[in-house]
This record gives sequence, C-alpha cells and structure tokens, in this order.
Amino acid sequence: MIFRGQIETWLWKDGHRQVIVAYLAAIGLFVLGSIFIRGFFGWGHILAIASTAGFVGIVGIGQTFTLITGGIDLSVAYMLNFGALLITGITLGSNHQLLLGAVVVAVVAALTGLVNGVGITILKIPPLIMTLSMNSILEGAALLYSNGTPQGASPPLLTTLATGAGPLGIPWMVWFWAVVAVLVLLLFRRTVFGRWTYASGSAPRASWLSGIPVNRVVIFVYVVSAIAAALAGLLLAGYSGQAYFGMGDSYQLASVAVAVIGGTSILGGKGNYLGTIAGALILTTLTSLLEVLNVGASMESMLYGVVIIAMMLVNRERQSS
Amino acid sequence: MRMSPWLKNEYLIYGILLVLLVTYVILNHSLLSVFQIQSLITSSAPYFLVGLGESIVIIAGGIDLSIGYMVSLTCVVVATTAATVGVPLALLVGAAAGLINGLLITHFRLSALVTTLATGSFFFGIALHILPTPGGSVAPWISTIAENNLGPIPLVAFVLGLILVLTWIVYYRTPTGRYLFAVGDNLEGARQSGIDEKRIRVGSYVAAGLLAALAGIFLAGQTSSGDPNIGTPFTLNAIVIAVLGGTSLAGGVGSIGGVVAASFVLTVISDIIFLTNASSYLQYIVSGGILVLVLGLSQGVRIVRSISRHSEGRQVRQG
Repeated sequence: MIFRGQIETWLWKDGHRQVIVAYLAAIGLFVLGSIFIRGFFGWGHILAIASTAGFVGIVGIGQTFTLITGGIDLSVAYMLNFGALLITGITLGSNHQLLLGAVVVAVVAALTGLVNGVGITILKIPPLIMTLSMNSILEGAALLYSNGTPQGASPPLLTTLATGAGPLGIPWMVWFWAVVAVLVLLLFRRTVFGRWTYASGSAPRASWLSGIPVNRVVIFVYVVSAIAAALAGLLLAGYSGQAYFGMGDSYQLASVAVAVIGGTSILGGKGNYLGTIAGALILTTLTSLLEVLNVGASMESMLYGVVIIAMMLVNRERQSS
Repeated sequence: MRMSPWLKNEYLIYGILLVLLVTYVILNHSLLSVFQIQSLITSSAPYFLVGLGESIVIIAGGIDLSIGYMVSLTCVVVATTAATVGVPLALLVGAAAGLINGLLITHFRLSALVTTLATGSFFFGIALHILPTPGGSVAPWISTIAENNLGPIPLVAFVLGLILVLTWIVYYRTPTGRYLFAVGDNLEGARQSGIDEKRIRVGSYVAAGLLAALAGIFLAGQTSSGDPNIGTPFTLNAIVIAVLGGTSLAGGVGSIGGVVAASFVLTVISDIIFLTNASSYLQYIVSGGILVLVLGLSQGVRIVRSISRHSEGRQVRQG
C-alpha cells in the first residue's frame, strides 16, 4: 500500500505529469496517423521513428540541461556539423582511424563547451550571445578546416550504428540512444551533481550561498551539451554516409522544441530528460506525418516554429491556472 | 545582464572604427577614394538597417532573433511579386511579422528569445515555401536605387539619411521616443506612470520588421534576385551591431551614431579580410568573435581591477 501511495505521489508531481502527458501525446499522434494514413501503422515504422528521433533526442540532452540552468545553447547546429566534418575528414571512410577521430571530436567539443561555459559564468556574457557567437565561430572553423568542400566519408562502423539493425531486430541507433538516455537520467536524477544543476537553475544566488559550485555546474552543462551535439554529428554523418554544410541547421530549433514539448521550462529550474525523449518522439512523428503528406522542408521549418509557440502558450495557461 | 563599462557609451565603437579605417588605408597604400567610400556606404546599408531594428527592440527591453529570417522572407517576396506591388507588399509582410512577434511577446507574455527563435523558423519556412532556390526577378528601379549614385552620393545614402533623421526625431523629439527608453529602462515604473508599455513594445518589434523588410528589399535590388538564405547571417550581425554600437542588453540605453559606426566596422573588417587575401571564411569567426571578445575583455578588466583593489585594501589595513 505504501508502494502504491508512492506511485501516486510520483504521478502527480507537476513535472512528471507533463512528462506523462507528452508520452500520451506521442502515442495519440501515432494512433491518429495510423487511422488516417494507410501503411503508417506497423512495428517497423515505430522503430524507424524511434531511430530517427534519436538524433534530435541526443542534441536535446544539451538543450534540456542548458535550459534547466536558465541558459540556452544556440551553438549546437555547427557543433554538430563540425563534429561530422571532422570525423569524415579524419577517418576518410575507414574504421581504423575511428577511435582517433572520436577522440579529436570529443576534445574539440569539450573545449567548445568549456569556452561557452567560462564565457557565460566568469565573463558574464549572456548565454544567447555567447552561444550564437560560438555557432558563427564554429561555422568559420568548419569552413576553414574543410576549405568549403567536405572531405572523406563516414566509417562503416558509424553507418552501422546509425542505420543497422541490432539485437531483437531493434536498430542499433535505438539501443545506443537508450543507453545514453539511461546514463543521462542517472547523472541528472540520481547524483548530487544532478540536484545541483536543478538548484543552480531555479535559484542561482541561493545555490551559490549554500555552497553549490554554480559556475562549475553551468560550465559542465555546456560541455555536456557540446559533446552531445558532436555525438549527434558523428551519428548523422554515419546516417548520411558523409558530411555536408548545413546538416545541423534544423537541429538548432528542433532541439529547443523537443525540450520545451517535454515540459522543460525556458525560465530554468524545471525539466526532465524523460520528457525530452517524448518530445523527440512527438516531433519525429509529426515530421513523418508531414512527409507522408509530401509537404517538404519548408513545412518542417514552419512546424518547428508553430509547435514551440503552441507549447509555450499551453504551459503559460497551466502556470496561470 | 549588467552593462559592460566599455560599451556604456558609443565612444569605444568610434575608436574601433577609427583604428580599422587607419589599418585599411595603410593596407590599401592610399587614402580612401570616392569609389571606396561609396562602396563602404552601400555594403554597410543592410547591416545598418538590421542593426538599427535590433537596437530599437533591445532599447525597449526585448530581443529579436527572427530579424535575419524576416530579411529572407521580404527579399523573396519582392523577387516573386509584380514590380508595382513588390515593395509595399514586402513592407507590409515585414510589419506583420514584427506585429506577430510583438503580440506574442507582450500580450501572451512569452519569452522574447524563444518566441523570436520560433517565429524566425516559421518565417524561414514561408520564405523557403515561396522560393525554394535563389531566383525570381526584381523591378529595375529597385536595383537602380540599390546600386547607382547621384553625383558622388549613392542613392541608398538618401534613404539611409532619411531613416536616420526620422529615428533621431522619434528618439529625441517625441513622447514615443521617451516612452521607448523609459519602458526599456524600467518596465514596471513605466507602466505605473501610465505609459502604454504594450503599444511601445509591440511598436519596437514592428519597427524591426519594417527595417528588416527594407534590408530585404535592398538585398533583392542589389542581387537582382530573391534568396531564401540571404538573411541567415544577419540575425547575429544585427545583435553584434546593436550591442557594439552601445545598446545596453538590459534595455533603456542606445544611440543612433553607435549603430552607424558599428555597421561600418563590420563592413571595414570584411574589406580588410578581402584586401589581405585572407580566407573569406574568417568573416564568420570575426562576426562571432568580436562581441564575445569585447564583452569578455571588459569583464576581465573588471575582475582584475576588483582583485587589485582587494589586495591594495589589505596592504592599507596592514600598514
């Protein structure tokens, strides 16, 4: 009975309710698609959606936690793109250099996140300006590195990871995303560091006064965000077989969208990666509905905008009522 | 968001501009020719327009991340509509886009940052829908204004001059201007003293939309075509120009002269990059680095000063 009580308390906590609503919405959207569109329903399509959602879901890790600290990371587009260009340029399509390439990408991403974090905390540059500027710097660095024409191809191992089928017929991408998601959830929901992150976002000064190293927490969150975006870049390079300019552009807003859909507050302090996962599933299902209707990339861009505004309006109602 | 002491007034940007112009003249091995000054004005025109729009929004206490996409949208509108209606329609679209931003942010109280990020994506989607790849055609008279000169003065300079005078009058000679600065400085105080703050804030976004539309029309005239991607770099550049030009991100502070100087600064930098045969890709790094460098350095100086003041205090006490 105590157990049941615990579940009920868990269910009715505000943040959890939003996460549950997001999952119900994801399922509802899929059912709606299945009713109205022939061939939409099917185990294969569910797996395909889950697999595609992984890319934006992984970029969304960074966006969720930078939003929770009261910031935002607008450098994910070219962090992703630079990561993809580096891995194809270093490995030149062979598995032998994959480890070296991954280490280089990880170091570049960690340094980028470090600069973002130090700029925001110690130099007091607003997150918007710091990360938007960093996006432009990374775009310049990516253009200089590749001299405007992307080199090489993705190593076969990455392509398998991004597109191949794994155990139980479930794509490797879904397995991989699941493992990453569990690690992220453990880090942010089950460790002291995770609690510090939420505290730093909801009450930065009080957190600092009570001895939480707020600056170090925020810097670490931006490092995580850059690494997550670069990781998505590697996977996306594997998915496309190559890297190209502009491959990260749509992930800028999509990553904010999936976090906001999943109940992360843009004012900081509130949010849960479980919700972001649901957000990624919702956005990908919506996109796949649009693809069936054959409306093109322009509609996708409009959709992201409308979805974010709609979610902000809905959450605003909830706050006031 | 505290104001960086170096940007409290626009003198820093005049200094930077002077240093850059001297560098340019030295690299160029000769003084500026009439042609170079003409091209400086023409190339900085779209920067100035978006920078001024962003500056007005920031003075009123907001931020607009959709400016670049409004430039794209209006550029595409001009290039795909009949010559007679293109310009008024583009201005109308710009104003409407700004109105959407303003209403969502003030009347529905949504975050300006995320709202304009989202509407920007929406405007970009519409631009892509109207014209997926660069093309279309632009009325010849628009290209004439964008490219030709009257005597030694570029025609576009007259348009910019008119906008400068209008903005100056609104800023310093009308109640609307006073309210704009008051709302940005202290929203609650302005509201309590009976200023219709919502009208002012919505107005600032509409002004930004109109100025972005002018930039879009100008770029369409300059390239004689429409391009849905042409505005993308302008969002960051608009913020860079506004803030370098002395507009306080906290709101309530900003000048016209600073914005003019800052838009020249960006243009002269890209001219210098061209003159030294350096990679044109450096432009992205400069756009991204300049504001971070200035804001970061000024905070760094403040930190060093406060540390040295601390140690001085200790010495005095010990003595």
